[in-house]
Amino acid sequence: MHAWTWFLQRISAVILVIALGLHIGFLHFSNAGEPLNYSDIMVRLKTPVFISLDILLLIFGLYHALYGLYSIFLDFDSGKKEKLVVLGLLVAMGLGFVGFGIFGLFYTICSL
Amino acid sequence: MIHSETLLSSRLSHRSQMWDATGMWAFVLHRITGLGLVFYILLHTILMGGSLLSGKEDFDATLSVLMGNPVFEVLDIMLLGAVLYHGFNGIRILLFDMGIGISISSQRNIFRIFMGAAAILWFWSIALKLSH
Repeated sequence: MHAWTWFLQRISAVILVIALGLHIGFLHFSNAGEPLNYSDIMVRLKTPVFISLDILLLIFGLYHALYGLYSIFLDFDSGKKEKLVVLGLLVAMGLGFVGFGIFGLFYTICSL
Repeated sequence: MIHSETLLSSRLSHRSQMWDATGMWAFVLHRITGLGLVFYILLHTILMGGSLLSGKEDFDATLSVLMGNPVFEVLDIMLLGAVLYHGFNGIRILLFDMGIGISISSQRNIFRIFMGAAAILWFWSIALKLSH
C-alpha cells in the first residue's frame, strides 16, 4: 500500500505547486490591500474554472497535509495497531474536511 | 551505489556533522513549515467553508478582520514564507526523487538557487502588499 500513497503524495505536490500558485496569486494579489468580499467570491463561484480549482485544492491539499502528518507519525516506529488507528483517524478527518469544503462550495453555488 | 543504511549510520555517528549538513536543515525546516501548513489548511477550510455557509454578512465581517488587521497581515506574510519554502524545497525533493542533481554539490547549488528564487518572490510579495 505504501508505494502508491507515497507516489500520490508526489503527484499532489506537483498539483499543489501549480494550483496553490494560482490560488494565492489570484485570490490575494489580484486585489491586495482591500478586504476580499462576498460578491468577489460569488463572481468566481460562477466560473467552473474557479470551482474546479477549489475542489482540486481541497482534495489534494488535504491529502498532502494529512499524508504528511502520517509520514511524520511513521518515523516514530509505532506498532501495527497504532498505525491502523492513526490511519483511520486521518482518513476520516480527510473525508470530513473535503466533504465539508465541497458542501460549503456547492451550497453557496446553489443559493446564488 | 552507497547503501542508504550505511550512509545513515555513518552520519549518525557524527551527530554534529549531521546537523552541519544543509540537507538536514532543509529537512527540519520542511517538517516545521509542513506542520504549520497542516494546521493552516484545516483552519482555513473550516473558516472559509463556515463563513460562506453563514452568508454574506458573516463572510464580509470575517474577511475584513483577516485582511484588515495588522496582526493577520504579518501572519499572512509568514504563511506565504512557509508556503514558498515548502514549495521550492519540495520541487528540489521531487527532482532528487527523479534522479536529477543527486550529487552533494549539485544538491547544495539547487537548494541555494531555489531559496534565492523563493526569497525574491517573498520580498516582491511583501513589497506589493506594502504598496497597497
